[in-house]
Amino acid sequence: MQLTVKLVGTFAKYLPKPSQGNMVDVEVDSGTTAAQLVSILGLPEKQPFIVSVNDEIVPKSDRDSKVLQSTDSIKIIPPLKGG
Amino acid sequence: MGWQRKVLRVNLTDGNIQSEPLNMDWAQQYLGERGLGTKYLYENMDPSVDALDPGNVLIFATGPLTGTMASTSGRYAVVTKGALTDAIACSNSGGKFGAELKFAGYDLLILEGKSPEPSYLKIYDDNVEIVSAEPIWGKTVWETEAWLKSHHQDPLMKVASIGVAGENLVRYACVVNDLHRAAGRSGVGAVMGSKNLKAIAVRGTVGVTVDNPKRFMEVVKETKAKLAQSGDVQELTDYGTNAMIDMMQEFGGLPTRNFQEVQFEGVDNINPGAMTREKSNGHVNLLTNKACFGCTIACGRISHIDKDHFTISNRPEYWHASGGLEYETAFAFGPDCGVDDIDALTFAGFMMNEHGMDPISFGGTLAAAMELYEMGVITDEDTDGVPLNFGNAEALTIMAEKTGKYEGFGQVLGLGSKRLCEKYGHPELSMTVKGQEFAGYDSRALQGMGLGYATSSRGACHMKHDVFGPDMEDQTGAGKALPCKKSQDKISIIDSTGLCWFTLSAWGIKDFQAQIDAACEGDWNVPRLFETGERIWNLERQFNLKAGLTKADDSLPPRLLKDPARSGVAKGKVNELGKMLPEYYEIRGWNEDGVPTEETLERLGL
Repeated sequence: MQLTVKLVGTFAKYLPKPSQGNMVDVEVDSGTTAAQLVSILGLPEKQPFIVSVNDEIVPKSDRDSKVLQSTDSIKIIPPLKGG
Repeated sequence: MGWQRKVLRVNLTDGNIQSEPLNMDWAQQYLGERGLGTKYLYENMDPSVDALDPGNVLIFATGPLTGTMASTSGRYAVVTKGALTDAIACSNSGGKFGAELKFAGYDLLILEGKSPEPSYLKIYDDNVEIVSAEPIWGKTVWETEAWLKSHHQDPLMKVASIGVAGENLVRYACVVNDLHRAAGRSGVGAVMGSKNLKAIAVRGTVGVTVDNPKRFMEVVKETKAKLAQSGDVQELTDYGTNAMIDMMQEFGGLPTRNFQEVQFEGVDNINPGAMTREKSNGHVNLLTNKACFGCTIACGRISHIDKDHFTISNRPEYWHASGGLEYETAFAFGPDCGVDDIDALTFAGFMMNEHGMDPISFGGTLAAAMELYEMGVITDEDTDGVPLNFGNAEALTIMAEKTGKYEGFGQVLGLGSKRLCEKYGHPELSMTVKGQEFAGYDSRALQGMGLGYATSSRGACHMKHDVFGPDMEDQTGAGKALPCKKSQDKISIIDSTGLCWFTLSAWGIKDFQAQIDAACEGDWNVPRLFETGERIWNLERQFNLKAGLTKADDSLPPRLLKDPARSGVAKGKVNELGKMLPEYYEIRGWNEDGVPTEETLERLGL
């Protein structure tokens, strides 16, 4: 199954090479969860970030149980800060 | 030490200049900068006085760590009653001016009264003069700084000044130092203009000392290493604050077209990617980044505008590099006005720095005017014939310049959103709290941010609290009151050190505590710091209550409370201020009318 993931803003630096823009297609097994996707992408565990699926935030506690579908709109959003 | 133990007091009405010992009891209770400035303001004026009356007091306050070897030690605050808000104003800035004022030997500069003629203040250590500003009255901030350095033959002089906007009392005029750093919010520049004070030019040779130099050097080394090793800090260096625009867009909290929407279709044209993208003619907006005094982050942007762009194609005086887009500028001129032309945004930003205006408030005011124009309430007759539709880049740049020069419809825009919307009979369209325009975070998506906006002493502001973490996790108002209150107390103390809170990407309160404790006399432990922050917050509240503000001023515009977000993670949600506010008052130790109880005041020594 293929998932299309958008790594928002500064998180584009975690895109696998040689990706362009900030979208990446990831080949995964069916039944892959949000937590497994985060691991596959190699995102920093210590840093807080948001996983959004179809414009709904997946709470951190639900990432292990949230099964992703190939039709999902998936975004990884870096931590929000002041500025 | 840490403090210079000296205050410079200038009465502009009678020209009396004197230095006096810093009240060390107050320094021990309020630390410095924001806190100490607030205490001196509270004790030196009647809060009910009109902000533009000579009875208002204007204070430039450094912190005990300003000018030291600590990272980001360039901060100073301007504390006064705000011309935009009629509430207490504390607007801080970076650059180099604050450190220079400290080097001249002063913790605080207190300006009272009103000069009988346009003047500037020249401070060379103990040699202080009020000088006629006749040659520079009517000049821009940039012209003023150049003239002062040339006239005094001192290129190392540091200058804080107002532009024509401040002279003409544009309600959100700011004080600009070092060409493009500003004490930007709440109209502190209009207060300076009301005192006929054009500029403060300072050179200092006294230097700074700290209480325990050996310990201070150790903790500064440790804290600088934390900044250097932080990935979050590196992102600030690499992308600047405008990195936020992509996050807010995808989150669905990017206020668009006067907060009618929460996502902007043109964001890819004004984000950090657009700032570094090469155009077909080879032009790249961003040239480099820049640090303030002592800063090891360097989040500032230096940009230039495409010479072929309509704004400057026949104006070579703007072909140089200057302060580039920060997030708030990009949000206020971009999504909020519906404009996605990065050169137009950059030009409007130049106008803010050159003429001395707050970009958040200007953008928020223009966005309100654009909505009124599209409703047919404001017409071409009002706008000097300029179509004020959302998305009109030319209108943005023309109105930025008109307001800076106080010409035509720019005079109306200079009122600020609240007064402008009242003038046209639609106060509900003003996206403000206490008369101050919102920053670029929609409080339907960020509920705790909404509570922070509503309760901020200086009106809508994103820099007086930090609830981003809880707001990321959950889009309801539940559990937001406590982190809002705690972060307000924490930031009150950080704002009182002389350091920048962008260090919070890498530092916790213990990192600040270690530096304060090494620099200042007294045992500055973490509980004492939080109590100090709470004392500052409550004293600001006391000032505002005496100024006539009430619980009714702790509110949000009806749009945010009644019109659900149309998209993003908070689609269908409104801000839940009505649930959060009573809980917040209770946690603060305030009564149901938002007044600190006797017990709270006594506990804090107020």
